[in-house]
Amino acid sequence: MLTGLPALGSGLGHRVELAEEIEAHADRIDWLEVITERFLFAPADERERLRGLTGRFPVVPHGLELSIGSEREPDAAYVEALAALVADVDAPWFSDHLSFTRTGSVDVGLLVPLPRTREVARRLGRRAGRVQEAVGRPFLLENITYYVDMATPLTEAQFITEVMEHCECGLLLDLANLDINARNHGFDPLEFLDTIPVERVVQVHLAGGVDGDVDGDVDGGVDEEGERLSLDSHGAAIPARVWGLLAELVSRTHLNATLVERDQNFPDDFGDLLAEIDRARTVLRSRPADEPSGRRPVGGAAQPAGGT
Amino acid sequence: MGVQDALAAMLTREGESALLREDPERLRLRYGLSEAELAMLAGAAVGGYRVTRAGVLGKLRSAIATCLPETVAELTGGHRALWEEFARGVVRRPQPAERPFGIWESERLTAWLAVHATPRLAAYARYELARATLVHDRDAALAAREAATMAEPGGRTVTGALRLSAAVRIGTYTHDVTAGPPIGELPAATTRVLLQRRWRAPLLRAYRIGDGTATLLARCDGTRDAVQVIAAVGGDRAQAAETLTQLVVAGLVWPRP
Repeated sequence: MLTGLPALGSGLGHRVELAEEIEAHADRIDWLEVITERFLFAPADERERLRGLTGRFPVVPHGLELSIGSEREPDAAYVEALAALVADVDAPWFSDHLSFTRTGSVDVGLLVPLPRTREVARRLGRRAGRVQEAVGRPFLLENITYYVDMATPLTEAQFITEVMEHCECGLLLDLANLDINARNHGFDPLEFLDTIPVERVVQVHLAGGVDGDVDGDVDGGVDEEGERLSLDSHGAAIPARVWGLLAELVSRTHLNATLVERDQNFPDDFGDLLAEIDRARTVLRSRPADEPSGRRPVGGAAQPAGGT
Repeated sequence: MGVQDALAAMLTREGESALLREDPERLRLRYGLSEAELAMLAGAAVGGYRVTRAGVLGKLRSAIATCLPETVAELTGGHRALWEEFARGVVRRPQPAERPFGIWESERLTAWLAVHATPRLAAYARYELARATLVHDRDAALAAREAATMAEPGGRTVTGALRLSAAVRIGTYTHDVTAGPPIGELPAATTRVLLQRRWRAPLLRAYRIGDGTATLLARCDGTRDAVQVIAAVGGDRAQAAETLTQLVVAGLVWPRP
């Protein structure tokens, strides 16, 4: 299902606060990612506005609430509506996170890390495959930022690899999350890339975070143990480390798309975001077009990806 | 029960989080954890739980702020202790997928403020909740589209029983919520407000309505035609007829389908 996907290029996460600037600079933005839940059960006029966007940009729904890692199956009504949304905007793929957001009785309201066991990975992989089948388009699974690093049998990279071995989905690799997790939990991001099946990465996320204390404050404080964490805020410029990871990844595999995410602290000058979009596009194009992508059908031999 | 239930509880209830340090065996028994699963949870640094708990509270605030932006700004700006008391006590429950984001949490806050906050703040929270609920109501949006279509020249004829449009909500408040923000300066005056969902921006319009209009609208319950509505209201029939015509032209009152 991952072969023949279009090369979308360098895109931006659509946010209400950015809508006017996006319209004004449509020629500088190759594609848009929209938050799935904003439109899933939205009133007709909101869906009409979304259709308006699809007339000018390729649009990909990116979900927060599927909770694919929950012990329960995903909400059937959600999956049905997701399939309708993906068809409505003719999205080349859709994405959500390798996490859970709720149990049977609690909605945590954020992306919670999973206990990284083989059993959970296999269940998640098989379930993701069923969701992909139900929606009828490729499903990309994204690595999250996590601060609770449980003492699990598998590392994050091993867990992702195990998931991928049990489904034919793709990966949305958030390089900011990788950078933050590597610094917070003390692992080498390049070893992470060595471990995961990079040929399954279809898209990446690029963003900037902040350094703060363990209460989530970003004033530079530290707790009594002197502990500090990097925080995934989507509220700063993309740091050099993340650009470096993008260049490294592009040297290893073909990517169909990059996406700049900004959710807060929007720059006064939209040109700052356009410059990041341009830079990501330049890195994407630095990989020779005729080079085999390394993307391969699951269980098959390496072959060039189509449509690029 | 298992690791996910334990982790979700620890991230949403401070007492459960404390159990991991103070009485881990009790946590293990409560969530049916194996020794290995308890060790997984215990192996994570305390700071990780704390920053994630802060994230949970931040997401709760964001969810409610999408529906009650001025109320949340007022609470977190000028009544921080009140906000923290509420936020610490809330455990979000899974909702049907089709429920608009943040509505359930906003309903909880609005109900809580009715007991714990000033009447001004409680009234404004209820007003913002009514606005958010109407904006996200799919039937209201369709009715708004119908009204926009019928508003075109020659598009409207009114016969048969009358009802309030699905794009309309009416509420009564102890303060003039249409004057805010700032919430702290809302005039104390019983105020009836009619909210109308629109198809084009602005998506909502709010009208203060008087007793006469409110009475007229209450009679448009789908059982009476225009003549019967006017008769039921009593008083000045000519004025009632004129008001009713204005309500129909504005798309606030419709013939029953």
